[in-house]
Formats: sequence, structure tokens, C-alpha cells
Amino acid sequence: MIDFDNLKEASHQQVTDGNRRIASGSRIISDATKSQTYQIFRRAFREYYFKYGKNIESPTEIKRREFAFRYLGPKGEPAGMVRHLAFGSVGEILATALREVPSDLYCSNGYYRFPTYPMQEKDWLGADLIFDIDTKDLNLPCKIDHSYFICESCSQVTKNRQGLDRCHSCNSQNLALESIPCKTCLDGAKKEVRKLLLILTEDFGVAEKDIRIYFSGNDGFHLYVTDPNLHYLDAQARSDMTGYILGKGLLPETIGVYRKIRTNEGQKRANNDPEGDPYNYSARYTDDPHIAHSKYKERENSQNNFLVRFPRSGLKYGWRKRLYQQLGVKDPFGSKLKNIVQEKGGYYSFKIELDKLGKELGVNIDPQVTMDIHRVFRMPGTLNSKSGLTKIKCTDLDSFNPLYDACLLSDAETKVKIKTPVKLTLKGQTFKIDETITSLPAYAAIYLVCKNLAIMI
Amino acid sequence: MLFNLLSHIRLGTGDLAKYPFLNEASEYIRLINLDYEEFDRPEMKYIIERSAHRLEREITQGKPNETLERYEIEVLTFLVSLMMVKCIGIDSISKRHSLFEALRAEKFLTEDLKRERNEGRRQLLISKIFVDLFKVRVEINDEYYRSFKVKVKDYLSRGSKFHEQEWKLINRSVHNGYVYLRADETVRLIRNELSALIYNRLKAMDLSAMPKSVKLKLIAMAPKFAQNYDSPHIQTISHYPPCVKHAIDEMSKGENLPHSARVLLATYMLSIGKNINDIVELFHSAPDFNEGVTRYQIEHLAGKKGSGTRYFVPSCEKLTNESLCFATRECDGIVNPVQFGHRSRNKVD
Repeated sequence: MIDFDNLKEASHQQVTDGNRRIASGSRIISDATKSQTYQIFRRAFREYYFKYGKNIESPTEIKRREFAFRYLGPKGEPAGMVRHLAFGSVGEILATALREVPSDLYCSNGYYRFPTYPMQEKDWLGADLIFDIDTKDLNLPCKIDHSYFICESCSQVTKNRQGLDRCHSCNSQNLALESIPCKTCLDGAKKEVRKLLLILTEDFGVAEKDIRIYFSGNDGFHLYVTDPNLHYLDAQARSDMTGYILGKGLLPETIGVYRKIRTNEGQKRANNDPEGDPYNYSARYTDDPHIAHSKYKERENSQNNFLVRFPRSGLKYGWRKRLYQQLGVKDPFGSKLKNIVQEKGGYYSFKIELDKLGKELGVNIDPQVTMDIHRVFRMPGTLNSKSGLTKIKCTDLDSFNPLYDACLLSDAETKVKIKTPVKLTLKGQTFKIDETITSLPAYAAIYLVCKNLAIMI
Repeated sequence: MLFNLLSHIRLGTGDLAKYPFLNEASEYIRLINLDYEEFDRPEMKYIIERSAHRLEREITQGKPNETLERYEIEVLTFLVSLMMVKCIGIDSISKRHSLFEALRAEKFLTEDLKRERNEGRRQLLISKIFVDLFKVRVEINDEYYRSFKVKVKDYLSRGSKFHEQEWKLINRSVHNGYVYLRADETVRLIRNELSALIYNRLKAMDLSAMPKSVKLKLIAMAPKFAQNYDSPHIQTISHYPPCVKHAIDEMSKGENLPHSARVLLATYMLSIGKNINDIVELFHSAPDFNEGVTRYQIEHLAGKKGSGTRYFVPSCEKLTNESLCFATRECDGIVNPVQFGHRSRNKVD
């Protein structure tokens, strides 16, 4: 039996870059301040890295990456983050993980000439294109059934109820929302992943071999696009790309619905008819408020005038195709599209409808994550201190069960005191816990403690 | 592969007239062994007059020159215009001239891509301009030969800098890693780079001596430039919000501000009660400045022209989306740049 807590510290060679120390110094907390939770976490995490260290994936161009660690605080909570670290190999990272047992290990999406320098001096060379899909952004109806408000002042846990704005116990407004994702949530996230895969492959032409899907280790998925052609896109270009994926900013003109600028009055004027008044001079210069109002109304109505024309760059691909399919329109020459726009109330009303359609057909990604070219992401194969689950590669999305496949901590019996009755399924086992003090396998106990729904005793 | 096969097709002289920034045009100048004395010969008078007229039209009327003559004349006019602009030494004129040269080429290139029937020549133009100069691989759409396709990454790195909604990727036809574009859109994509290319050529030009005839022409033209460029320098007033300050600074440097930044500047100035003449003055250094158009557009924003709608200053959220927000700590809690103005003025009071 290995005593993981007293495991001889792995030999760790400091990596140096000139006079700069890169990864150094133990962040182990002194014995006096160690809590029970801290010790259990540390033992379990170290055991994981000892057993599954080979799971840690080496990022491409490892020497150009910035690494970051987060450490366990004295009570076992994740504490401050240490950034701007550099490593030469995944072996060095594992050695540090075993020696220092960080709660989280991160690696930058960016490649830098000087990864350990302050951000402005790093000299950015490119960044992986990464998408984040989170169950909490899906706002599924089941969310309310498995989320909890935790008071950050008195730790009181309240089952999620709409409209809760303060703690029932201490009246504090400092409430954190925690959720235990259920199968429906995770299936919802998988559905979004499939939608994203389709856009990436069909529209952006990314080869399937260049896309890696990871379970984030808590409640979502990360998609990495490894196609080096896309690594040099700046934040603005990535923002445009996220807009495309989210379905944001669609113009009716894109599918052939144009605003008819010239009104009938304008037409009259264009035909040298003196009665025509395209600029509504009479409305603006009249003294009669009734006439002015009716002219104003007329002008407002004219804003909704439209005409349907075939867009010159076609309708066969991408969003144009998706929208036509969704609207059930086969070709723009028929009257169906015209009727739909008419029914919706004209150009502007159709534009609002198009925004809704875009949201429905788009993929629910977190745009900030993709746009950020200097972000650090949890390393694949490492533990997530928000759940104790592993960020793990997902090779077959259909059969992948995050709550089983990513649950790799030990099942040593661990005693916890729960803050609220809770039900969860992990590693194929369903736990319905009503008693305050209970013994659970380490993976389930750590999961609940990470979620702030229990404490170690 | 195709581009390699094209190497035996030569550009025609007509192309040098339309695109005098091409390396082949520089090669032509080198071959004719043109030295400074040549510019003082009477035959060159027409070229110098033409160049001066081109600059004058750009500076006073804000219009590019789109006439087309023989390639010998066009290439030399391009060169003499650059010499003149270099000699004037005003950065905003250099930027304006670079932009107008780019606009001129854009017009010809669009026409060539649209109308040229000789497929080899069309491919060659694409190769010489898009690939050689800007490393953008433009391909002809197999399904409709009058439209083109570029790689998504090439489109995004250029199109995402345009602020108009129609340039957003979502409003484009995207398939299998390509964005499908019309000829004019394909050429528009490289306008800024072409303008930068000409500007960099100007910067790199080494003018140790100036031909006498060019110098004399410049002296004769000087009062016209002074009229346009000696106007009092626009002061950046400290109580303007940072987004407006930034727009004014960029404008006074002669940068080609996007339409949305110009709308911000004009609507903000209208909202603080500036009169239209003063606002028109603000846009004086814009490379494409045209007083008539600027005045009409400002009056339109003020609700005095067109539909009569008065346009309000765009919100901070909109400005952030358009990358025009340069928020400082003083911007905390405001949702529209107008509030910044009020708050700062109140503080001063």
C-alpha cells in the first residue's frame, strides 16, 4: 500500500531561462494550518497524478507555452493562481504536480517567444482556437432542479428557487450558484458540440482529425481546433468567427430580403410627379400636428417596406442554407419568402425574427473564451478542483459519459457532513443522501465538497 | 500549381497603366534609365501638370483620379505624384494620396476581374496582385466564374476590421473553408493593404534632390495646400470621452477612420451643441474629405436632411462591439459617451 501523503517528493529540476526562475518553490502549506479537507484533497489528487500521470497531454510547442498552477488553500479551497511558468516537457509538469500537488494545472492557448515574461513582453506568436460549451449557458428547464444557492457569508445552502436574492439564514446577498449537471444537461451540451462540429467541418472546412473534444472536468466541453492555419487569427477575427457560430448579427439581405428605401411617394417624385415627397418635407415643415403625426406614421410604415431579390453570392451554403431550410423556403423566386416576410410585418419585423432564428440555430458557445488569445486553459488529463473530475479527451461523443469516464479519483471511504439533501450519480452509482453525516467513496465526497455542498469530517 | 504555369504569361502594358505600383512598373522605370535631369525636359511638362492636377483634385475635392492614359504616362504620373507628395512631407497628404491611388486601382481591378474574358490574364492579375503582393490566395468560383472565393482565415483577418454589418462573416456565403465574394468585394478586401503598400513605398522613397520643374510646380501649388492644411490644429479637449478623443486624434493624423467612428464623432459633436461648420472642419484631415458630402452627411445626422431623423450618439455597448471603445476609469458607470461629457463638465463646474 502506498502512502501517498508521505510519498518521497519527486525530483524536480528547475527550469531556468537566463536569470529568471521559472517553476520553483513549493507552495505546500505548513502543518499548523492544514485542515482535514486540505489533507484529504492533497492525498487524493497526488494519488491521481501518481496513477494517471500519463493522462496529462503534452501541448504542441510546449516550450512556447505559458503554464499556470492554482494551489489548495488551507481549508482545501482553491487559492491564488501562479502564472507565467514554463516547462520543457510533460514529465517536468508531472514531477511538479506530484511534488506540489496543485489543485489545477493550466496551459496557455497562446504561443509566445518569451512565455515567462509579463503579458505585454511575451511576444505573442499565435494561439490555438478553442471553443467552450457550458451546460449552465444552455438554461435548460432541468437546471432549477439541481442547482443550489450557497451563501458566501454563512455557507447556508438553499435549493434553487426563482427570485431568491438573499440568504434566508443571515440575509446576506452574497450568494453563489452551484449546479450538479444531470444527464439532460450533459446531453444538451453534447448536442451543441455536434452543431459546432458541423459548422467547423462544413462551413470552415476544418478536417475532423484537426478537432479534439474534451470534457472540461466540470459541466461542459472544450473543442480544440489544431489546424495551424487558424492559429494566427487575432482577437477581432475570432470575435467575428464567434458571431458566426452564435448566429448573431444576421441581416435580412443575406437571404435576399432587402429594405425598400424608395416609398411610393418617392416613386412619384422620381417619375417627375410634383406630388411626390421622398424626404417628407411637408411632414417636417407643417404646422399642423395631426398632419405631421400621420406623415410620421406613414414614414414609420415605409421602414418596413421590402423586396425580395436573389443574393448574388448564392444561397446554397452556410447560414443562408440553414435559414432557408428552417423557413421552409425552397427558392427565393417563389412567393413563399415574400409571404413569410409579409406575415411577420415587413423588413424590420422580419429582422427581429431572424435574430431569434439565429439564436436558435446557432451554437451556444462562450464567445469570451474563444476571443481571448492570452487565456490559460485547464490541461487535458488534469483534475478540476471545481468537481474532482478529470478534463479528459472524448473520442466517441455518443458513448462518452462524463460522470463515469472522467471520474478517476479513488473510492476510499471518506466521511462527509452534507449541507443539504442531495442526489448525484457518479461512476455508475447513484447516491441519494439525506443523512447529515455519511460515508462516501472519495470521488463522490470530493465532488460534493468541491461543489460546496458538503464538508470533510 | 496553376500560378506556376502562369509564369510564362506576361502582363500587358495596359496593366502597368492601371496598376503602376506593380513590381513590373518599377522594372520599367529602371529599364528606361530615368534620371532627375530628364524631368526638366519639355516632354515631361505634361506628366508634371498631370500629377499636380491629380494631387489638387485629391486634396481640394476629395476625389480620386480615374482617367487612364498610355502606360508610359501613367507610370510616370504615379512616380511624379509620389515625388511631390514625399516633397510636401505632410503625413496626412501622404495617407490621403495612398488611399486615392488604392481606390483608383480598386476600380480598375474590379472591372478587370468582372469583365476580362481572357482567363489566363484574369488569373495572372490575381496572382500578381493578390498573391504576390498580399499573400491572399483568391480562387475563381467553379460554379460561377464571375465570383471568387478566399480562405476563411484570409477573409477574417481582413473583413473583421470592417465595421459594416454586411462584412460580418455571418452575412457571407461560407462553405468548406472558403468565403464566396463578388469581384468588387474581393478587391475591397485588400484596399487597406494596397493603400499601406503605397504609403510604405512613399516612406521608403529617398529624395536627395528634386527636379527643378517638379519643385517649381510645387511652389506654384503651395497656396492651395496651405488653404487646406494651415487651418488651426484641432484641439483635443480634455472633457471629451476617450472614444471621441481617439477618433479626433486619428482624424488629425490623417487616418482613414471607419464610417462608424465618423458617425460617433459627428453625433457627439452635434450633441454637445457644436455647429455644423465646426464639425465639417473636424473632418478636414480625412484622406477622402469632400466638403459637400461631409456637410450633407452631418446635416443628415442632425436630422436636417433625408428622413428628418436625428441620430443620437451610439451607445458604449455598440462602440465596444465595433472596437471603438477606449474606456478609462472615468467611463465607469456610463452607457453612452454623452454621459461622460456631462459628468466631466459638471466636475469642472
